[in-house]
Amino acid sequence: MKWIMAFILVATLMWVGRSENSALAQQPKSEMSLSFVSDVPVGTAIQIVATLNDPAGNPIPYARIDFSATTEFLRVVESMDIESATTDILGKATFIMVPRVEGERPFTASFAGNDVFGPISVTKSLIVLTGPQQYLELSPVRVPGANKWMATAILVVVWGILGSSLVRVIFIARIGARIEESQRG
Amino acid sequence: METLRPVDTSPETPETRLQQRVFAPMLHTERAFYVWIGFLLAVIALGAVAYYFQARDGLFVTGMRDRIMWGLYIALFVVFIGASMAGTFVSAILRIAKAEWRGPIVRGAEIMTVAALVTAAFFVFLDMGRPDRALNIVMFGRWESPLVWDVYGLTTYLAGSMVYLYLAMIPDLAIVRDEVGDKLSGPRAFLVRKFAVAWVFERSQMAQLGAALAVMTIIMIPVAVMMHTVTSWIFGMTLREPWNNPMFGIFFVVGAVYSGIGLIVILMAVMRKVYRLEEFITDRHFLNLGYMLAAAAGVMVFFNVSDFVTLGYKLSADATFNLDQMVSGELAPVFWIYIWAGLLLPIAVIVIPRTRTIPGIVAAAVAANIGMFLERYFIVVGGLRVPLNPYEPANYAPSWVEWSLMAAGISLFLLMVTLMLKFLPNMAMWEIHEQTEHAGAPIEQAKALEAGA
Repeated sequence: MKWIMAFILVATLMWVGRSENSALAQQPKSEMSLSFVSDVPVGTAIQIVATLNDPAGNPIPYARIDFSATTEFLRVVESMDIESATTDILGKATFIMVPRVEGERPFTASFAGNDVFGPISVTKSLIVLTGPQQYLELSPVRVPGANKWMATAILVVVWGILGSSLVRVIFIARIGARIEESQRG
Repeated sequence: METLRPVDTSPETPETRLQQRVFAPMLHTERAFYVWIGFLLAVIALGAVAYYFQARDGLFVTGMRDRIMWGLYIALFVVFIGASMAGTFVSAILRIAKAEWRGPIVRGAEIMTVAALVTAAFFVFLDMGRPDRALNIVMFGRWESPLVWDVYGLTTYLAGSMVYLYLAMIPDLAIVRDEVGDKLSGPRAFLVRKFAVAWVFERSQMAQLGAALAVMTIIMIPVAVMMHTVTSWIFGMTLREPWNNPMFGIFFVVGAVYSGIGLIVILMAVMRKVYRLEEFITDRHFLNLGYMLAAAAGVMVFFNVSDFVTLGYKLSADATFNLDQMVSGELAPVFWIYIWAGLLLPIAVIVIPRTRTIPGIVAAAVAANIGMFLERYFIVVGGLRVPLNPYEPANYAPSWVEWSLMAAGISLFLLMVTLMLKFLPNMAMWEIHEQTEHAGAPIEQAKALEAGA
């Protein structure tokens, strides 16, 4: 009896799940576009805008859009979430970013879908151009008082301490000589 | 006149057995010693031949070129600077901490420091394209240059280490003079007599020596830290991404302590075997040094994690190249051997009770030193491989000249250590005696001391 009940429960759950999937498949597909400048020098802020519309071209407001970038690090290519934004009444989700690495950088905007519209994602590449060199060697900071005289003073003190320790060897030798002399005497 | 001279002279006491062990290499030379010295001299001769080619044709005979202009020589310079940390620093720390087990360890460690510093200077000399201009750094060197700081740091540390070694050896030289002075050859007996400076174990002499050693112990710790920090600044003050690390100084100091302790362990194992010092260099010494080794390895792991996490998190383009070349690129084998064998393996060996034995600890010390050599190699070579301009990264492979001179340098180091351990008292007899007294002398010695009193 227990097995029969379990079977009925599982079968029911599977049927409900299938109904939901079929309902999802029947949802109207949303449309999305991703816009930003095609190329930008490294280190320059750009605005990335994802626009979400219904099939009739009407904006879909208050929808969460996830932005991700395809990154390659240590020969591993993977998608990395970089920002999330909610569409406004014009269906636009916006965020500002500063590209730091030169080369072709693909960005993806994803809409996970909701009760009405199905999920969609769009990918577009940004070309990040060589910018002004940001890693420049400038004149070092000069620490007041840090000069050859300070260095000399440190060396003199340290060598003086070494010397004073060696001077004690003379005292040791004198004590020993005095004792040896008194023993002979 | 009250003296502190050890009164126990019975041949059955540990003190006399210790003296016999220390005097043995000074008085008798086995055939194996000559074979060993001959081997070392042969390797040094091979290095001399290699150096002849380098001096004749210039540094072109090495694998170094315009972009990777430092290679094996500078990596070995850092290795031996690290080795020098072993003796004086570790010995000073143990003296300050009044670690009563330090006695059998400190002399060998201090000898190793002096030999390592001379060898480090040897590798700098090898790296010079024009060694005839070596003195120019003293005459015309600019105070703003880390190279000049390093020259003064090295000479100061070497001088301090020699003074420290000598001061702690005076009572032992006196024991040698009194006990076996007549058995030494004329010049050696003369030198021992002179350097023992009329030491008669008198209390006021001990006070003078104690004061001198106390001052030296305190000053040598900052001097050693300065030496290793300044060595790191040779790299850290240069605008190259992998060296652009404000923690480089302390990273070098800890690395030097780590490899230095490892070298002490290896030296102790060799001394124990060769000079039959099992009674005096015991499991306890290896265990304590093993714990210190594991602790230093732990700190090194922490520094590495901290370094790479911060580097990867705020990744810049040149850091990407550096991380890539180490983790999965050209230097990946070197890097991963360093991480697994050089850092994690020694910790595992010492943490696991089953492997925490003398052979296990010695193996951990060997692995630690191989790992630290590889670390110095990728710091030097990896740092220079990172391109500063858009060109292909250069590669470096040491030539036979560099390998030969590396072997010669290591042989020079071993030769100096071997000779000093043979001709000088290789253990601090008076310190061991003093510690035995303080720690509670063995029954036989206590009885004899009582009888003497």
